[in-house]
Amino acid sequence: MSESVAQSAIAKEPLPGDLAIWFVIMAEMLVFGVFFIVYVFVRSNNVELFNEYQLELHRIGGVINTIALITSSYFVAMGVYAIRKGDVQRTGNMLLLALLMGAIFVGVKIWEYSHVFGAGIHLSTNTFYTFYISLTFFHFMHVILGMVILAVIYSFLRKGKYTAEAHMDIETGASYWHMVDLLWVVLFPLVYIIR
Amino acid sequence: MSQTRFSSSTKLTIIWVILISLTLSTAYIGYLELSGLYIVGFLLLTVTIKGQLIIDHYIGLKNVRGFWRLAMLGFVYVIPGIIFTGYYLSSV
Repeated sequence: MSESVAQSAIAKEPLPGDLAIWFVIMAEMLVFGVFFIVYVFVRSNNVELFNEYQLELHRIGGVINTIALITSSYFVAMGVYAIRKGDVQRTGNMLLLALLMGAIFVGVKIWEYSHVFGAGIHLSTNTFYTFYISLTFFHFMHVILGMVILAVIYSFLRKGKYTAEAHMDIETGASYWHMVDLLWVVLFPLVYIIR
Repeated sequence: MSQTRFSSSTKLTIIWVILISLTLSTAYIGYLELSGLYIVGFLLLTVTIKGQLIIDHYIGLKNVRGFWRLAMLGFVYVIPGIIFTGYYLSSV
């Protein structure tokens, strides 16, 4: 009986963060989902071309960026855990570490783009690069926006806006940031590895 | 705030280790430049596992029932499924 009461309580668990961000997250994931599917079916008509140019990508850079985003997501999750415990100092530290990981992603990506564009490659070089540049740059913009959101949240945290009882903004920003991570978890193997 | 929503810090750390391990396995396959349907299947399986771990434990949807969790999980199950189908069709 007590177990069923507990399960009932779990079933009523609300979404983390503001409801509005979940509509944004769903819209973003839908767009990326369609993009991924189009990539796969365009590739099916250009398998040799995609396999050839995929090998030109900086896979090590992609791996570093995957580790950076996953670690960043970990720090954000730890930050949410800390604010639930009322540990504002630790939450701030976790957000700063998450931002550092985000900065590593941005730095590696800029380095990667500098090599690609430096080699004279652009959107219309071929179909593979059209997808590679547009998909990764679209995601890159989401990383930048996510970092701005985390930085604003950190600023509010320093001003004492959040407590263990009131911290919806942190959950909202964290949910967005995890979505950015989730998208990269699909994008990285799809564009850099799977052949 | 409920105690059920988010995982403990130890669990979050263990999940991070799993996520990094799966990423390194993906990287190793990339390093070896392996291909084929089994490899594609394995790589997409790691995507699904990583995705579900992030959704359930980092975002904190494990105990959230209804549309939102299903929609998020749909992304990490349906999209890899369609990707696998596309690769399968291009290989036959």
